[in-house]
Amino acid sequence: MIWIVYIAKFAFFLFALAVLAPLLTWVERKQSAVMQDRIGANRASIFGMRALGLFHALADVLKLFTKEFFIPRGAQKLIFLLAPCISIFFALLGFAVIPHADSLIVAGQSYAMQIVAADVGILFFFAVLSMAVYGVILGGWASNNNYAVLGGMRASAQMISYEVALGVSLIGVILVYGSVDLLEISRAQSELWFGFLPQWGIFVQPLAFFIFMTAGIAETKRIPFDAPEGESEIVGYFIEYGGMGFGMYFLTDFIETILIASMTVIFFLGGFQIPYLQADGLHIPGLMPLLFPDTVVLGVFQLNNLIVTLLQFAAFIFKVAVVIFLMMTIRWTLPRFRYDQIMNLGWKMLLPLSLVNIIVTAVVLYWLR
Amino acid sequence: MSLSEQLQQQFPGLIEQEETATGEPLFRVPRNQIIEVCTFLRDSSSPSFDFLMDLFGVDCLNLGVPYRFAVHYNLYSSQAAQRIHLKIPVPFADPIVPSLTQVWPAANWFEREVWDMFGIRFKKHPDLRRILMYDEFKGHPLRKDYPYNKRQPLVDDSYTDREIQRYVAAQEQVQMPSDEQQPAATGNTALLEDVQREVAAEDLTETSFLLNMGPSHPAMHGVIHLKLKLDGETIEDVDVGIGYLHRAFEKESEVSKWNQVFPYTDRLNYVSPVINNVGYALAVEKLLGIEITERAKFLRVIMSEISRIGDHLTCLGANAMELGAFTAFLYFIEAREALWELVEEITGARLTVSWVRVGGVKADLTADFPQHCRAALKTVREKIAEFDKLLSRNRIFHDRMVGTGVISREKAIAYGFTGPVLRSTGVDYDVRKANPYLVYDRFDFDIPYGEKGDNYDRYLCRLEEMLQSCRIIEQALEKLPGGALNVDHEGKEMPDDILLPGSAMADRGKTGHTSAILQIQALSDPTLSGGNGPWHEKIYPDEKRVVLPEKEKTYGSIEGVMNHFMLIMDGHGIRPPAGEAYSAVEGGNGELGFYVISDGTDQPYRVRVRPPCFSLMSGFHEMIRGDQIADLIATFGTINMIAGELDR
Repeated sequence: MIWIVYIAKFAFFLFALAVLAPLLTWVERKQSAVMQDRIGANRASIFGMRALGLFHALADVLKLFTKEFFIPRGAQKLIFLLAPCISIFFALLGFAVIPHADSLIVAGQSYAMQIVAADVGILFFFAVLSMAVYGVILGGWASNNNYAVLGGMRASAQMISYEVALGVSLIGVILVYGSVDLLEISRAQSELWFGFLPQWGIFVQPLAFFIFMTAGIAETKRIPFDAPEGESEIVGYFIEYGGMGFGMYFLTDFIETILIASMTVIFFLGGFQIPYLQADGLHIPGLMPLLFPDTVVLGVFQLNNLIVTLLQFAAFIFKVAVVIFLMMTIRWTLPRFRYDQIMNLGWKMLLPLSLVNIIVTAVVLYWLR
Repeated sequence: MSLSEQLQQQFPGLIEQEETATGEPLFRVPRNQIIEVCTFLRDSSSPSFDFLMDLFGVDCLNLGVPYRFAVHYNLYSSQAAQRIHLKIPVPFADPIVPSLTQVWPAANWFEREVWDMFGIRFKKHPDLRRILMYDEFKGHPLRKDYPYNKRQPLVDDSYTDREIQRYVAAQEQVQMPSDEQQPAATGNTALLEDVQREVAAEDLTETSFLLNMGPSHPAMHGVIHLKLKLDGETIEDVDVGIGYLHRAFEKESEVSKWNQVFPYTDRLNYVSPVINNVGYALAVEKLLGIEITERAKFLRVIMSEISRIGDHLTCLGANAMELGAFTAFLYFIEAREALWELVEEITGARLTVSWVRVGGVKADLTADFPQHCRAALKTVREKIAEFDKLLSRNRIFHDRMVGTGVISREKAIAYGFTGPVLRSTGVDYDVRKANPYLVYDRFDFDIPYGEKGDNYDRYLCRLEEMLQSCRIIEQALEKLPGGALNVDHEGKEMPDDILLPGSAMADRGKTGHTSAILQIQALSDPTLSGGNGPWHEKIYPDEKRVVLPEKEKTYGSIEGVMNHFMLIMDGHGIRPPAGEAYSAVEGGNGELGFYVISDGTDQPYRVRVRPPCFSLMSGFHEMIRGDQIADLIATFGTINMIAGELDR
């Protein structure tokens, strides 16, 4: 029974991501088009239906699959083939611990809405994120190309540097919520401050939020942190990859974007929480008698557990979409950092700031206690 | 003391003055004296000539002079806004000239080009390789005895073999060092050195490595080959290879008629083609001694400035895009689109416009042009403000641009830099102000200049120059002589009944009903060339030597037909008197000069372009040495290299 649940969850998430990542390429195209006063992709059609260019995502994938995958002379064949797989594998693995909603209780049995209900979610997330760098540097090295090597070097240096700031910025969050379990952190954010303000990470740890977002965008290697690709400078660590080899690197970027956005939501935007919505129904402090006169007695607008779970799931998806939209807006607004400026920002700005954040958080928590 | 007297006094009996049509002094200097003369002119003469603007060869085979080649030097004094031309006769038997690289580093690439094109060698030149043609090319294409239509295989079969042999030889040399001198590969020592360097780089103690950037590289426009020596990401040295877009412009010009050169000039700086058109036309008109009409001058100014804005928009937009700011790029392209629609409205084409003619312009403005133009300028200003807001004070962009690609004022002058790149170093040299041509002296505009000579200053200079160009256009539209288009040149409004469609008029002419035609005006669009009497007189001077008569006269009178045929028929056409003339205009990237030599026939004897990019690229290594790879992209962008005029 437990295996069926696992397989069902796994199949669902894999399918969701396989659809979402290419869909994100379409979103990115359309969003940039709107920002740049263009129409954007709208040519691909099936039986004359264009569907706002949605089929471009499909067409891209088909094109990448049917293109020749060539291995350059002098390349390390095995590593060259393996590298994009490593990249996408670890990016996908990160989703295993993400809680998409609170536990669903069916017939007295509780089902966690995450593939693996690991109580060390944050550590797992970081472990997986650090592994992703191997795909990049191995791909760059195995290509036997100076540009690829430069790209791989830049990528590895950048990803490792920003993981430090990324990790340290989260220590404040862990201190506040007192857990490294992602589900626990999400649940903790449903509590209210002063009776009305939800205890979301962004209100509790505003500095950490900005550090995490910045470092997170750097992890995804997108503008303004796309020095490893830098298509006008060194083209990137995947310069020698064609067909689906390139496609996997390309999709990795988008999957990582979703991953980072999910993590941002979990740590700072209340995870799957909808403000004032608890497991048993809606609680709105002070306003309940006005809005729902029938609920005066209990102060709760009762909702079925299944409906709450679905609402939470939708809220999670919505929040992730908002964060991705924000990241894309940044991507289409800013120019690219230079490699040494990225290093400066990571080591001289973000890391000291996140250390200060830990100290301040610790002192405040100690004082409160 | 005049310059001529100073030179005579310093070098007695050596220097003769020649007659030019340019009004600028031209001195003939013996070749063993050239270094002394140039050093004197640079350091001690009054005024002193700080710029080597151009250096080029001429094959005098058919000119009837006792020497085969001549090497021309074009010096400019920024202090007195004055030019001087020097000329060295070079005999065929012994084509060697002392190299001027020690006086002006700008001479380096120019001399390489002269060697490439004419086979004139330069003594003590540090690196005399071919520059525009490829290494395997046999012969020197700009010599008059090289047939213009001769074809050569681009790369022969043995090329790859020889590369491998070179590589093996270099490897052996590294493995077994011997005292014997390596036999130098002719004219291609740099490649050999690269191979050696590459082999040496395999030694792990060597920290630098070689990176070939381009010609197929997204930032190199597909036409520049940089061989970078890198230490990590830092650039230690660079060898710039050009010539991938060489189209033999100067050779083609020599087998074209004078007016047929215009389409080729479009393709020089293809982002601002009208300026090239104007530059060439001014040189030929100088040679002919023609004064064009007032209105035509204004039209040329308006269209030149529109092109300049388009040029800078493209440059800055592409620059932003290469730094990752793609959205800003598209905002500028949108503004450029508005301008290109104006260009299309007037010239009928967007890119290769060929709009200027010797003696005038192809077509007059349309009636609605002033409104359209003002609307387009409004768009441009809005987009510039938007771009400015997005980037100028953006921290990332600012940090990327400030302090990168720096060149000092002295070096910029020594390399013959002009245009925004020179002005960013603090020299306010602009041909439009220093030597006003057309009617530029009648407008109120400023020349922005920077102080540090870095990418950011170049960026700001270009941004401000666009606004100044907008001012010029608006003033020109105000002062435009000739008024509206539905009046004739005397200001009388034209009645409708004397108008007839051009095609109907042509039919009448052909069927012999010529007597009535003279009173009839063609009803055609003013942007069509030739066909409109009232407009014709506004934009063309009364010069039967160069100006095609309006179609009414061609179809309606025997004089018109004869005039038309004399200009069109092979062997007749425009025939400037024998002589030489230099004329410079301010192109998008700096001084765009045309040196034309006529032997009295209907074809130019020699058309030499002074492309601003050429000087800029010859000093490129100075700007990026010590910077990072990412800075190279920014610097390359702000230089605004246009391969069309670089390689010609």
